[in-house]
Amino acid sequence: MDTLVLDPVLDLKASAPLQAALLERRGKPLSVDASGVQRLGGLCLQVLLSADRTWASDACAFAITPRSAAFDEALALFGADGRFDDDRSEKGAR
Amino acid sequence: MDELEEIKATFFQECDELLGDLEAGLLQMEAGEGDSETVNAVFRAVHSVKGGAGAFGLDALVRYAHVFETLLDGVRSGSIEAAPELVRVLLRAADVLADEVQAARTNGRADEHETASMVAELEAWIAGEPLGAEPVVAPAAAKPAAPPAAADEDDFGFKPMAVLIPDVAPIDEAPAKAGWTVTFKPAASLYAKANEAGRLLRELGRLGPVEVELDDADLPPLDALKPEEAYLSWTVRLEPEVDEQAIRDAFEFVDGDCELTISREDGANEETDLAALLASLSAAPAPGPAPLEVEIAPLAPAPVAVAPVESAPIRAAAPAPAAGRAAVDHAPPQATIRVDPERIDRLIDLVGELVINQAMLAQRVVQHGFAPSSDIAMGLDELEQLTRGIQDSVMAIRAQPVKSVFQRMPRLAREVASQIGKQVRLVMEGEGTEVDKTVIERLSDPITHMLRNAIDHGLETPSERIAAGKPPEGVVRLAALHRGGRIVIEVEDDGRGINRQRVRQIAIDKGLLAADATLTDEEVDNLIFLPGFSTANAVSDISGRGVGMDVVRRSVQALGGRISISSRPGEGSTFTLSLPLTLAVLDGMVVDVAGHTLVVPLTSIIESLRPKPEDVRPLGPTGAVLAVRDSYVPLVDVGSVLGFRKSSVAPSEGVVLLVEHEDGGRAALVADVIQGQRQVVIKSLEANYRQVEGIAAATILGDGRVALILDVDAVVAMRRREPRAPEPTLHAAE
Repeated sequence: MDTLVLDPVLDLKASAPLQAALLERRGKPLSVDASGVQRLGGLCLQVLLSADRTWASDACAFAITPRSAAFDEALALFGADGRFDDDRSEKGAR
Repeated sequence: MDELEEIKATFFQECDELLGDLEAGLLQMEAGEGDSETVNAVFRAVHSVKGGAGAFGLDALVRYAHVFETLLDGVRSGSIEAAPELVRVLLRAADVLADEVQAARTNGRADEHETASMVAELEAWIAGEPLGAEPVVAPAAAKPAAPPAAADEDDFGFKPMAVLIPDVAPIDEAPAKAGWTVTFKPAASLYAKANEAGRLLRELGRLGPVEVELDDADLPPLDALKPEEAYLSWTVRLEPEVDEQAIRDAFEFVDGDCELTISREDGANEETDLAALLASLSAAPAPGPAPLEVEIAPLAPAPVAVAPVESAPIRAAAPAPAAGRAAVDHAPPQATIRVDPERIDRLIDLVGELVINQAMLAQRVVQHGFAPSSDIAMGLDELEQLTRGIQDSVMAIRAQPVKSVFQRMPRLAREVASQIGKQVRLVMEGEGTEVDKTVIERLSDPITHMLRNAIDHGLETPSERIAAGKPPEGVVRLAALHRGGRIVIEVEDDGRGINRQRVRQIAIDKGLLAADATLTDEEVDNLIFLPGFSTANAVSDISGRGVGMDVVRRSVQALGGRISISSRPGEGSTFTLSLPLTLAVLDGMVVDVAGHTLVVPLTSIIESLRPKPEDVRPLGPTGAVLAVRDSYVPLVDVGSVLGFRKSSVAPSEGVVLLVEHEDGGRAALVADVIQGQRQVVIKSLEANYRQVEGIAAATILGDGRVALILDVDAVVAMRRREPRAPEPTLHAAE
């Protein structure tokens, strides 16, 4: 399984590179390593959410693991906790 | 510069303004003139600093500002009384905030001990135990019911936040259970300005328990996604007790950068967008809500939105000012643009060229024999007027109010006074007086020095003042005004005045004055500007730092300014500083010297005269002096000092400009012919060529030739330093 390690700071400037890095790995199962993430901004969150949805439509596995506490906290802050969890059927429901 | 850095630089500029507002507001409160509007402005200043700092991750600044803000929130909600002793604490807290901002700006560290002790002091006030020596820890019950979302903020010490909520809660809660639903959709511009949706959510989280729902329905697939576009929106539910104003405050920095709807959960009440809210808040003429391009249609704006405002935190106020306040706080209606100063400098340069070009054209027209009444000449007159108009307008762009300098002074006054155990009240007037940026940058030092001097030497100690029948608190007035095309700064104290006897004695003791000299009171007062003069018996830490008033005078004169002092024994002294309004143009006397055209700044010239041969007296082997009325003034032949000619001309064959130089002394500059007096555009010689001794700058004349602007002090000093070989001046005098 391909792995993408996320940068510590996922802010405004990180969103385009993150999108590009993800698109490079499209079509294959992907594991995203968020263990080093210290800050997650709204733009990178939407890139990750979109990726999750895109991988789902490609019927490929997409997982974000492991995750730093800061990453989990940010997901909770954004009301996005649970979005990247296993049950794919619920994804993109909203 | 990095885009983010640019935004950050703008933030720090805003901080300066905010800190100024903060101090001004606190001073108003100190003077007992503050109303709820003032308190709110003060609160908002700190809140804005905090908000911006949060966006840039300046954690230390956020932490400190938060505690400060919490206390101010208590004051504005009325739960903490704005007693005079509290206001004094707040003033010191503002000083610490300024230090923190400065530290953040320079990536340095503020004095941690000072910050910590100030935090402890502020927290003690928040806890209602201001005199408690121990730093007060907020009671456990006051811990906010922080949602997990705010977990990363725990180390910020945000304990006291919840204290205020119960206090505010009962106020506007007429209808039964009704929570708030806040829906917001950031625009791409929100992120582009380094704001974060997460920060907004976190701010809301601080107001109480929240439920956050993310809406990603608009999110495209990854390959269609534009990484800097914004697709997400959020719906946040808050407790009904939360104050609406507080919710709106959280969105203060993203006006126009997000769609926002705030509504009551029961749906029966207000549902409005930001623009409509603002419009209705500022009950009177609404400040054109132009900057807030919110896309949501304004729904039912008026009747409901007003109600919560009056019951908002500043409930002490009558409804009218409360409504007016909002207009002041939100989006100050004055639209301003920030422009890189270099662009303005370039514009000013170009306009300078235009003025020169226009003058050249006018001169050619005359040369070609066109009559003044000819169409061309008249057209040129109109052009000249337009050019002047443009020049004035462009200069006005660069003009700034002296406020930016003045606003640093209250702190200085406080610090100096407390250091030497005096009580002082600083009264400032004319802060809006405008002066060119080039001048404003150089006002700070002389004003600082004059102010220190007024407090240190001018004012008496409280006990001396009481003995003299004055109130223990001294008053120092700092004023700025325009007078005669110049800016005048006055620093006036109500202290003891200058001890003329002593000043005179010191001047005599130091050999600066002949023992039998007859001087007017004014002349005696101005002896303090002589180099090497210091009146303080003991060199104090405050103003006697080896930099005497003579240095101030010299730096002021280098700018084409003058400084003087007048004094009334027992009643106080007044320093008066006058400077040209700009350093971009200069009024000068155009003279010919050995075939060269020179400009002598008019501010240095006392008079011009054509000396009689018998008034010129030889002095020493190479010098000569000129008898002007009852005194002798050294003669300086500009042509030979600058090396334009080998031998000096006879002063009686040319003209003499009597000038005053830096030490207040006089000299007589010898030139050949005076062409006239005119305003010239200053061109830096240093920037375009290199520094030349004796020359301050250059200009371009109407005929296209470059004329050098004389540095009078330097020329006089050069003459003193380099006595030249045989000077025909001597013979001419015979």
